Amino acid sequence: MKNFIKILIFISTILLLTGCWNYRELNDLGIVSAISIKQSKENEDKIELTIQFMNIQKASGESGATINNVSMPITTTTVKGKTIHEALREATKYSPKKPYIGHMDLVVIEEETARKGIIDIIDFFLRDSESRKQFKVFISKNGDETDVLSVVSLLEGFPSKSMISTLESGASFTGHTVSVNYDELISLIFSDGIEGIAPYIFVKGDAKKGSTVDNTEETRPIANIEIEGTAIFKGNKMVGYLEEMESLGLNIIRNRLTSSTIPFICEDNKYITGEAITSKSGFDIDFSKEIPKVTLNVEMDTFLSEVNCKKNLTKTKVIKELEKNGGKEIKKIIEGTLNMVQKKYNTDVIGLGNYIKKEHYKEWKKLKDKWYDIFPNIEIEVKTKFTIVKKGETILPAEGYKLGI
Amino acid sequence: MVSNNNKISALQFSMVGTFSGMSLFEGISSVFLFNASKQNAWITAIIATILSLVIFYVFIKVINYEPNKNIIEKINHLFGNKLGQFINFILFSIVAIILLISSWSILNFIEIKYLTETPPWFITGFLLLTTTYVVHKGIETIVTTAQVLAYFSIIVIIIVTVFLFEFFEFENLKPILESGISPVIIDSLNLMCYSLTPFFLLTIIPKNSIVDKRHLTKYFLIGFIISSLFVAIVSFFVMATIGPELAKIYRFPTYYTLMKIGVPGIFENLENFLACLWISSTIVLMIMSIHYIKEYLKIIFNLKPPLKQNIALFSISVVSFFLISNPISRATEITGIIKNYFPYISITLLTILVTIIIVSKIKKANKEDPNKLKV
Repeated sequence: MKNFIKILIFISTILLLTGCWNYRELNDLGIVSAISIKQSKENEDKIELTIQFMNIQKASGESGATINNVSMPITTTTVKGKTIHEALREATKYSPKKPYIGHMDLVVIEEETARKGIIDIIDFFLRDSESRKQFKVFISKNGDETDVLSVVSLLEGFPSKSMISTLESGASFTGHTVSVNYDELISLIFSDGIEGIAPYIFVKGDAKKGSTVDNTEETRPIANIEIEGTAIFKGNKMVGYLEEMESLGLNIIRNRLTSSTIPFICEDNKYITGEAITSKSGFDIDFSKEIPKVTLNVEMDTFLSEVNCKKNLTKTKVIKELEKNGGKEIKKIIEGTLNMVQKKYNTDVIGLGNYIKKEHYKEWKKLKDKWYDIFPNIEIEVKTKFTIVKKGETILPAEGYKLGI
Repeated sequence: MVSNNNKISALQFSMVGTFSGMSLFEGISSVFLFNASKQNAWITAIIATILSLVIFYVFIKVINYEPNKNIIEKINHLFGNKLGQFINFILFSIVAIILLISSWSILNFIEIKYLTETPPWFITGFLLLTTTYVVHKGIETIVTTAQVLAYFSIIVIIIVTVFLFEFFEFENLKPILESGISPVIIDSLNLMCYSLTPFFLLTIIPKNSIVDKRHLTKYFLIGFIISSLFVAIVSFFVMATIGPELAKIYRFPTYYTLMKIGVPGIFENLENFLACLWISSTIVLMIMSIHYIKEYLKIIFNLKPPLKQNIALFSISVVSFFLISNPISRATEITGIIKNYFPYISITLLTILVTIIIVSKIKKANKEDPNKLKV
């Protein structure tokens, strides 16, 4: 009898191995790859979401092949709701599958909505257990928030993947924009003495045609997604936009630069390109006066990747001169950024306040409450050290060989 | 007796303590710690470890007193029938609270992160089925379970440390002690309440049940320090990885921190390892709590026949089932109540343990010299 009961219990455990309670098959889920968010124009208390669903059956194949088979890898639905969650549930009216945001790659927020504040957008993604919080956040040009999710690319099947790849390569190889995860943005918004940043995205070309397969059949795509510059925040509100070079300056100041090309003048209308290999910056602060005086020290090691002028690169004097010019160029870029964030927008996206908080907490306690009264008036002296560490495979510039120097 | 499996080693004994000590961290003490100490959380935990050594001495003294008796019998022996029963009732209530708090915490976690649509009674049922079975099998099974889980946890911690290192941003740990040492010491006293209370459950195991009891103090101290340092290490990882701003937002910040790790195809979703570790440690704590309550009922109601003991164990499980799975008792306010009242529970516990030491000393002195004041 005892053995019979043991066997019965043993067999009954098989019933428990069938899976989770209320499990959902992959095919029953509407896998969301991206969401765009904007405040509804018709009804201001409503949020309008455009949800990009993955076509899972197509996803199982190679992305390029998917498009050539004239079958779209994604589908989008636009829905409205008082909250993000309500809007997501609204999507079930138009989609046979319940949206699942566990694999979401990115969220695009319309510029106008971001300018009004993103605090109402933050909570859902923080609270929801399905959301992984590592997705990218973009700010889109007004009116483009829906279109950026629709433009298809030949090189990357899924528009969301295409956007992420473009962002990563843009941020990594040019420094002209920033790559920011959702959790990082939230951390910046909630931190003292530093403000949030996000990449700026828009569609170049005919967005409507760009969302069709035609876009992948042209050698020159009808529409392209472009990620350029940086949206900057103050608190939870977007306050402005930094152009490419200003974004580069921001990346240098915040030690976020991984690589970039810095062209600088060497003769009349002739340029040299220094490829930044490493870049390090740090503040030195003098608190002796009421308004602190800041020195920003930047050290950049570069690779001389292109020289279009008659310079004898074998001479130390010439290299020193080029390094001086390169340093001046970086200084100009950084000063441009500082001018924008201090004078125009008065938002501490460079993290100076945060640095003071971490390194000089006593001083921060005195400055904290009046930070934005003094921030635009802080004198920041930029000191640069531009070093050429590599000169490439040739000894002289091409111009130099021609002229025989 | 239900089972004759009553002999354990000092190492196993200390592992139960180490494991139980970790269990109240995620979702309970971490919420308090990261909100109060922010980037100094790891310093708070280190100070708590040092301060805990005083309490370690108290635990050792209590365990060493009357080595053939468990804590309930010791109290009855020291304080007599009426006062002893009263004190034991207070301790029983504290253990019941520990059981409920740890169960609610783990149930919330499982519901939020994994089984969102599964009824809570179903999850509770499984948790209690496991714990009740282990308690039914006896102390040896309890400690062996803890030992296996402890080895598993060591592997998890090593893996996590290796892969999390690249995400460290040491700037997140600044400013250090910006408001001086006093707030950190106050926070560390608070933290001690959460970390040490589970260790009390070990006093239900009589010292004579330990085969190599001469190693007990050494192993117990090591286990005690590992458990306390675990909190310090985890706090350091969390702060260095996600920073104080995100750490105080989340209910399960450690779990969230590990979500950052991802080596495609090799180590993905490492946070689930942590979840396993946490669920395991909570199960050990639940097992010890249920074992304590069972022993309490056995002594108070003088339940000698195994059948009666089984009925007592079954009754504990049934009552626990209803209390744990009841949605009212798991309401959000519970977190606030725990935060506000847990230190008082710990202080009560500590007072009782210190009283046991003092009274036992006086009694011992009286025995040696009958002319001294009798207690």
